[in-house]
Formats: sequence, C-alpha cells, structure tokens
Amino acid sequence: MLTTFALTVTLLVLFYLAVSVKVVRQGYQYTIERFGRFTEVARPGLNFYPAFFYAVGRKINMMEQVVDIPGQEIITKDNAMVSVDGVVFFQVLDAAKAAYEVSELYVAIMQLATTNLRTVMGSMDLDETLSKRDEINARLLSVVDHATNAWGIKITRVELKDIRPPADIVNAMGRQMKAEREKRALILESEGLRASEILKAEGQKQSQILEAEGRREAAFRDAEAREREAEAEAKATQMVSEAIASGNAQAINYFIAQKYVEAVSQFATSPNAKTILFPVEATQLIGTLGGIGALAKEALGEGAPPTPPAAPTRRGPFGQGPA
Amino acid sequence: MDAGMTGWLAMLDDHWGWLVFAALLAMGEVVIPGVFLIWVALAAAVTGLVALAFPISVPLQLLLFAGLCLLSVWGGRRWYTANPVDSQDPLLNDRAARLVGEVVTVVEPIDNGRGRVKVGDGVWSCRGPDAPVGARVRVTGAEGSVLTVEPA
Repeated sequence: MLTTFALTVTLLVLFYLAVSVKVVRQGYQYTIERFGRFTEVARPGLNFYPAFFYAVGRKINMMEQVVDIPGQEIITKDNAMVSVDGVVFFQVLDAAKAAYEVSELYVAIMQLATTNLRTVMGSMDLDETLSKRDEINARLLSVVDHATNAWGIKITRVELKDIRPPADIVNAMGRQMKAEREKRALILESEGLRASEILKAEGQKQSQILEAEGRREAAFRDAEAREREAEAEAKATQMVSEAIASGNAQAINYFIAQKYVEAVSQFATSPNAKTILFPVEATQLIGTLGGIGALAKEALGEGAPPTPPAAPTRRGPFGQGPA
Repeated sequence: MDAGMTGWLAMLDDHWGWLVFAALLAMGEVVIPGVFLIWVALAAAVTGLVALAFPISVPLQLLLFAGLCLLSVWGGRRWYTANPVDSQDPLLNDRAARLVGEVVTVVEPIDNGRGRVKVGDGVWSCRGPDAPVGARVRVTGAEGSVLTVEPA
C-alpha cells in the first residue's frame, strides 16, 4: 500500500511538473492567466508557471499570417457587378491585445476587409476598379490598419487577387479594344495612302518642272546658238564684202566657183552615179570657169577683168540677204 | 495492484532500473521537443545512484524521485533564468522592435501626436511631435503596432 501511495505521489509530481513547464516555440507567444486574469506573456523558450495558479490563456501566432477575403460580388459606382477576392497579410505585434481585445481575430479581420472593400470599390466606376488596383489596395490597407490598431496587430499588406467583371462586359470590352485597334489600323492605312499620293504628285510636279526648265534652258541655248550663228554669218559676210570692197569683185567668184565644183564632184561620187542630174546650167558653170580665167588673168595682170557671172544669191540664217 | 505493475515496480527495486529509466527519459527528451524530460531524467539518475549507495525501500525511492523531480525542475528554471538562452536573432517575430533607429518619412501629417509614416513599402501608425508630410523622423520605439518617433 505504501508503494502504491509513493507511486501515486510520484505520478502526481510528474503530472504537476508536466503541466507547469511551458515550452513556447519560436514564432508563438502564450498569454498567461492567473485565476482567469491576464498577467503576462510567455515568450519563446522554457517557462515555468506552477499549475493551478497559472494557466495558459491563448497561444498567439506571432508570425505574419494571411487571411483570405472570400470572393464576393460588388456593385461599382456605374452599376456594374464585379466579383472580387483578395488576401490580407497581418502580423500580431501585441499578443495580449490580440488575445483579449478582439474575439475571433481572423473573422474580424476578414469581415473588416470585406466590408471596406465594398466601400472602396463601390465609390469607383468599373474602369477605375480595373485600372487602379494599387489605389484600392492602399486605401483598403489604410482603413483596415486604422481599425485594427487596437487589436495589437499590424496589417502589412492588402492585395486584391482577382477582379472579374461580368462575362458580357468582358465581351464588350474585348470588342471595344478590337474596334479601337481596327480604327487605328484604318487611320494608319489611309494616312499612308494619303502620304503616298502626295509624294507621287509631288514627284510628278517636280519632274514636270525639271522638264520645263530643261526645255526653257534648251530654248535659251538654241536662241543663243542662232544668235551666235547669225553674228558669225554677218561677220563673215561683212568680211567678204569688205574684202570685195577693198579688192576686186572677182574674188567672190573664186569662192562660188570652188563651191560649185565641189558640189559637182559630190554628185559624181554619189552611189547612184549612173544618172547625174545637172540642175545647173552648164553655161553658167562655164561662165564661172570663165570668171576663174578672168581672175587668173587679173592676178597675172593681163587686161581688164571680164564681167563676173551673176552670183547666186545666198540666204542668211534669218532669210536676209548678205550684209 | 496487479502482477504486471508489481513486476515493473520490482524492476525499480534494482538501482539499475532507475538508471535505465533515466536514460530512457533522456532519449525521450531528444525525441519529444521541450526542455522538461531531461530534469526528470536527472532526478531518476540521482535516485538510482542513491539506491546504489544506500539500500532503501522502493516507496522511499519513489518519494525520493518525486522530490528530486521538483528540485531539479526548480533548479533548472533558476539556471535558465540566470543563463537565458541567447537567440542569434532576439528580435525575431518582433517586427516593430526591429524598426527602432530607422529613419522614415511621414506620409500622413503627425497632428495631435498621431500620424502615419512610410516604412519600406508599408505604412505604420506613429506617435510623436507634430510633423508635416514628407518630414523625416526616427523610430525610437513601438507600442504594439504604433511606432513612437522623434524628429530625425
């Protein structure tokens, strides 16, 4: 019997020690209550709180945690129904407050985030909710963080996971985007066409201008050439007439006769030389030859020169007679 | 008391039984996390040594063991208090305390001693002398999730 008693006492002691020794793992803190009243927080490590007097109240997770904001339908300012879900990251900074200032911390945070999400997104229209995610996150964070300050927790981050507008709106948005792009494509295309037409016309204009300029230049040069030619002709004629005036009229006959004979020789050597048309009067040629003879005689100083044959009139460039 | 129990107790009669018990407890300490069983193991070992030295009865051995358990756990607690386990990172899980000494920017004016400051890419409530938006302040401490700041 004594053995049984001793054994019972031993077991009691072991049990008492087992209940009294609290080993708190890293990442947690335990609230300790003495007769139901919170006294202190047990930090990670070995803690000894005699049983019966002290009891562990709550085991608080001090690590950063995440709470899901369940998917929900929200009506935006412009009456579009969007379904949204997200996550809230938070960390307990004060174990006692998180344990006793709020009942059901996770539910409280979730509800707070849910209702404020409605408030924030309900004040925006659909396009804003889709494009201003960061702003929604920031506003939500600010509101929820303020509200949870008293609970000894810090909301570190609020993120919207998914914003889904209704299917028909998504469809319309897709069509709008497509139309927008098509519009841009059409505009670009016609702009290209316009530019190409303009460039073409400009090229044509340029080519016409250049052509006209070429013609103008050519005409100028032609005129110049004719002028120069006339000048040269006039000068030549003048020189000849001067030579005649200062010398003898027979001199002219020399040229004429030379040209005449040259012309005849050219006729003679032409490929169809079988028939030689002699459009000139042989007598005149003879006369020319006679002129040459007279010229020779005069040059040799024998007698008076015979009268020169009628010289063929020569036409100047402008249809005028020789100067 | 049945035969099995008596048989187990009979084993304790032998001082070697206590020493084996101590070794088993020490092994349990390794397997089961928690710095508790090792003190019980120590008590069992001492009981075994005493039983080896002085032939005492089993009930006495058990009571001695119980007393030694209380003593060793109490001693262990004292030892722990005197030699706290140093953590390589004592501020682990203490996010606010980590921020002490940092210079941060005011994003909501500190008015009537309350405002908000930007820390990293998050925003924290703060308490301190009034300051306009954009002012730079130094974190001096934290009360829960509210940082205390002073002009930097």
